[in-house]
Amino acid sequence: MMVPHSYLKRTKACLPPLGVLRIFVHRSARCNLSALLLLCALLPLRASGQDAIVAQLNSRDGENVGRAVDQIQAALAANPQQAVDQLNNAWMAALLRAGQNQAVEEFATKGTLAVAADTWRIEQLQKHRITALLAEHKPQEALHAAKGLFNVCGMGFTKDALPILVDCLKAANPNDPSLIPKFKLQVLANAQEDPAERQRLLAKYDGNSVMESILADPGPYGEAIAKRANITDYRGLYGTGNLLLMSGRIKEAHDVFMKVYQIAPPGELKYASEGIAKLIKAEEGGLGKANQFVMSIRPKS
Amino acid sequence: MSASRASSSKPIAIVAVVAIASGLLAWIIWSVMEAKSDSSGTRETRNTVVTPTSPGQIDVDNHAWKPAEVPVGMLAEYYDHITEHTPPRDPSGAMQRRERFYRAPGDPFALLESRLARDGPDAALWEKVQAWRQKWTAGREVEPSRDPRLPPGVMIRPSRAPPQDLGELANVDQLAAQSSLAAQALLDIGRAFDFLVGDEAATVWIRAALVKAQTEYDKTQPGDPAAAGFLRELDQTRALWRLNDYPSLEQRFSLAIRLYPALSVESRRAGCLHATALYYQGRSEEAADAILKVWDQDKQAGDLGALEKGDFGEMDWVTGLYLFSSRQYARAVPYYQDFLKTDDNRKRMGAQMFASCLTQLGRPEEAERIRHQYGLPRPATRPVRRPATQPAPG
Repeated sequence: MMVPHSYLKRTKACLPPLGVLRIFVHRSARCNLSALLLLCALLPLRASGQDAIVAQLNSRDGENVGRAVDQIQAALAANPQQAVDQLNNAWMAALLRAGQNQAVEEFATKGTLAVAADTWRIEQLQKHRITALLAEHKPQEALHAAKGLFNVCGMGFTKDALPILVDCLKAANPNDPSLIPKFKLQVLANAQEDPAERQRLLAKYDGNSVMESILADPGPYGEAIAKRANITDYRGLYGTGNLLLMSGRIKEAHDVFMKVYQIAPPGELKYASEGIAKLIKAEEGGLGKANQFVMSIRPKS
Repeated sequence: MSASRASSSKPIAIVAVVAIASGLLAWIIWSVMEAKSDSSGTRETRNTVVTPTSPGQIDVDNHAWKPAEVPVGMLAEYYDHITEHTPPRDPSGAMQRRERFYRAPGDPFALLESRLARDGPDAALWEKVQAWRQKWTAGREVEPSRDPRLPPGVMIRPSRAPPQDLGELANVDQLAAQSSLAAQALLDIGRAFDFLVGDEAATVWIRAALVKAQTEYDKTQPGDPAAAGFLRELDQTRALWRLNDYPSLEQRFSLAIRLYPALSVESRRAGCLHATALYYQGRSEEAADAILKVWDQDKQAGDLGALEKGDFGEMDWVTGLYLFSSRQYARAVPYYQDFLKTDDNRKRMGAQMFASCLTQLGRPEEAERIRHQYGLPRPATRPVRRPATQPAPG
């Protein structure tokens, strides 16, 4: 049966605008010879409408796959932001299909550090990283990363972050099936926007014990956070705040996001306010109070 | 001597005057900039010190927070902003603004316990829910099936998934519909179950809510605020789309058409989606009638294409499709003609269908002309098969 609405139109609009080519064009402008060579190598494939790196990863040929991984490495070093977009658009999925789980882990962490202020980019990178960790049978690490993702994600991503957290909790606790219903009831209780109802339900369902028992993911970001100690500009601080949230260092993140809010340029008020909302989400280990904040600052129309 | 002193002090005086003047100028510019930033609220934003009431605790009621539109954090994917954004469309985020009415679902068990009576269908319903809940909290109920190859958090597509074993919950919808629970309460329970268990468990309650609402809102006038809360929760039933539950979607949009004010944008959007639900149930003729009715209403309202010029193309496309599918080729022709005048990017497909309509109407030359115009291949001539008189072996 034919699809009635504009699904095709929308699918097209979702395609990456320029793909891999843009990254290397940008690099070549900086007279990076290796990038220029890479561009020449990629051009024929790009011209045929196929991403060269994805094609290499799909080839199932060890050498090709290795070459693709090197190219991604180089792209991340040359223009991290565009490389991260390509990773999220196509490369991560291809890497996972090719079984390159360790590369996914590495690129996700490197990418996260490179675009630390861009929550929407981090969300996708971390989602792929968690998939790789689960595929590598590292459920505990995946669970820590999923908690980090829940802490850092924007409010609109919570509906995606929660099922990921549930999946990881399940994988990390295969012998305790009662843990999932308990966790979900606690999350539901903590999601109540009314403070009294939230407290009442949390008391009924044994508090927020499951969420609180899950540690976040301090390992990959500690060194980078230390190096960012002297960063004081708005975006730099936002990035530090995000890394602190992922690391589970909520108290430090609190101070950073309060500062971010105070120094936010007028055009960044919405994003800075979301920083406060997600800080509350991480502090409370739940959505209720964060949504209470979101509703309280909503412009009266 | 004095002349030379005078000549040497002159440049100093000039420098001093210039320095004072530039200082004054800088002060004036600064003052003007400050005044400007004051009026735009910038200064206030930057100088406001937001003090938390206690370390690690943010006071959400602190009035120093500036107004900002931040998305709400939801427990599950309750809304479908893409499929449900039908003409008349508003690209300024009209669908996303529905999330302003989102509230987390309440505790379904507490709600059932507090509202159900102790006898009749209420008691039977409570008994079933209790039995299911015992198993579920012990982790003995089956969670929705997942394809292990899919990334975490991504459920298997319902159409490919084996039905979830809901145990005692499976037939609860009939009991729930007979119970004393209001339709809106049933929807709220459905939303909670969507998060706690999954789409299939959610739709048990949503279906009951839809049945209940037929009688509950039977006498409600279009636009009556009494139905507003119910309609807002009805928007949060994306589970029905995920499960391809088109009969329930048909019911949902019938109710929405009736309860929103006549000719309102919401009512007409519901009209389009009602037609879609009919079409996906193979009821193309009814779908065509339904979409033609929406066309009439759009004409009366006169706002089609006002905010999104692609509205006409979209309406032409779906109308042509529903008429084509119901073999009403002659009626489909003008819609395809209009569709081909738009800048919709499905023109080639539209031209193909238009040509097929013309062929069916015995106008092969015109069909050929359209195919030629859009560079379409001629339809493959299939050998005529004799109908089998005997069933094929095996």
